Amino acid sequence: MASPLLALEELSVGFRVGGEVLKALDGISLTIPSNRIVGVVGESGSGKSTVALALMGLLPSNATSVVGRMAFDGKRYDLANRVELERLRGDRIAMVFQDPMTALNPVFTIGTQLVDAQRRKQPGLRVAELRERARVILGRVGMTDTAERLGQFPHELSGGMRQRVMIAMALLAEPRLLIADEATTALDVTIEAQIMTELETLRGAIEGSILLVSHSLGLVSQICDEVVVLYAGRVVESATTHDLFTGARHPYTKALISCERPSEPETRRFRSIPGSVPRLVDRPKGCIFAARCPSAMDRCRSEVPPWRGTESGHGAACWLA
Amino acid sequence: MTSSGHIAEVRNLDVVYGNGLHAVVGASLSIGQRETVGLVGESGSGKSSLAKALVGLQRISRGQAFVDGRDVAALNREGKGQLRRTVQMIFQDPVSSLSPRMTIGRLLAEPLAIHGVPRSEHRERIGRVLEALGVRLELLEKYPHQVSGGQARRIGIARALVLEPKLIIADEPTAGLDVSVQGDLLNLMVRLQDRLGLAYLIVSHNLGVIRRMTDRVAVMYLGRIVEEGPTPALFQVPGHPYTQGLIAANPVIDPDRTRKRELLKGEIPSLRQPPSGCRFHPRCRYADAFCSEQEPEQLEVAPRRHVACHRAELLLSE
Repeated sequence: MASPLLALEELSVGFRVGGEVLKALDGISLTIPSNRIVGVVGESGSGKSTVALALMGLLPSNATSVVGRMAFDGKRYDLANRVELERLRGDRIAMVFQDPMTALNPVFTIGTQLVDAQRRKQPGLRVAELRERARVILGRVGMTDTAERLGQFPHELSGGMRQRVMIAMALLAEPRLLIADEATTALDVTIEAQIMTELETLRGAIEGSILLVSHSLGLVSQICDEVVVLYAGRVVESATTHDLFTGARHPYTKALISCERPSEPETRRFRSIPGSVPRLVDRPKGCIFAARCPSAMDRCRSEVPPWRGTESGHGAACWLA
Repeated sequence: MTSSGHIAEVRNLDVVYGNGLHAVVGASLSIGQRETVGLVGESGSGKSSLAKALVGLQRISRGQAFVDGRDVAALNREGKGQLRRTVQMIFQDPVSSLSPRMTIGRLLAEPLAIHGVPRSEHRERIGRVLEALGVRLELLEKYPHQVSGGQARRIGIARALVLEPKLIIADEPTAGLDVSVQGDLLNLMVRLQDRLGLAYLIVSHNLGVIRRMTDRVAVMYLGRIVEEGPTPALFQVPGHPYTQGLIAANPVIDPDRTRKRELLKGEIPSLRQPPSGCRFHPRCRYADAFCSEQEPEQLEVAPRRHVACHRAELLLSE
């Protein structure tokens, strides 16, 4: 098997909140193969966004004790070293956030911002050429009247169009990895579906991979090749999309899927997962999910379950998997 | 005034904002006693404006709205007070609507005091609602920040319920909630409905929730109700191309990609310049020249099922 585009090894991140240290990520390992879309799912507080920010070297200043390494595109990086990551950011790794309004400058036109975004990478090109590249890329992300769009300001565009501009901006850097963190969550599902379809087709064009951070299992199931399930800062399961949704092995994944896809869809009885994500300050001794797990045994409360993988790459951290 | 059994009804309702924005155009919809009706459509379709007109929070420009037999537009001050006891809204983020300076007990008594419910009845009413919600009475002494997010949400709902309304309008009730806890809220809504005999109008973009919670659905596009009917039938065979597109875009779990994804093209246009003819025609894959000229009428295609589309017969026979 060819080496993956990105291999993240044992990433741990703690946040200082008040006088306590909150362990947001606890030894996360995951791989992103070349030209694949990998989904990261989990409830709020699972650490999805923290993973994305750590890869970008954009963790907030109260992030203490960042430990972890990654191999990316043939080189090794120390994730505690922000300076190293800064060189990758916006160049070989680009990110699209949930709210494009905070990322776009309201006083400059779309064209100006897309031209500026390329200057560092394309020092030899004239402004007119950069503008033309920007216009072409807007078309690629599904925008029409692209010449006019360049002259518009962010507030003149709809939310969906603004998010397309953000994706275009990320693509202009020709990244090897595009991270989309809940990029379409605030949009109507109709627009979300359009943008996701465009992302899917763009994957080939950028010759890179996409890391899709999302709370929507449906969305992830429809466009990702592989899925990583996070719970309270740990990877509890990872598999190909087909394997995960047709044969989940971790009780947490099973529960999450059954909340979204009911086995008795015609009734008005809804499933939920009782309890809530544990306090990340004092992590329980055994399995992090034991307190909410319907199948928990004594052993689960005292010993951390090992990672059990199959040959097809379907792994789960559970004594019962 | 209303046909029997309806807790609320709008007829040919228009909502025009002060700036000239025509947010709702000729909407007709009824909600029966103990019935759950869903209102769906993209942002800018007029869902919230219609809901607000029904509770008297938005002026009705044309047409009529009846709640519990009373004409909403004709209500005087006292009548409006009555209306707000009959219809209550639950907002997207009920937690932020709770004043941090009041104890939960005071927060729950406040609506009762405003609506002139005698003090002697407060305790009993609040107790009844908290019991139905499964919230312990000890919570009454606490402040909102001292309870969990889930409990705060329940308190927000309790505030709506103490006035013993007959209709609850829930605007995006599951928005921002993890799927793992959405079920708790929805189960609670179902239980409350059974116990208290409530009717619901659920405004949501989450078609998964709408499909399972509601008896009937109305689909809005650019201010108009384009389709309306019993939930199972409408989801099984949508009669309007817009309904079809919304259902196709709904991100259901589908790892083997068996569903065909007929994407709706383009975006909802501005209400300031609605397209000619059928408002949906620029985005419709069935549209022809006639659709861009002639606005389709609402037709009753089956009992209590209405579709406003020139191609409805074709879609329904597919």
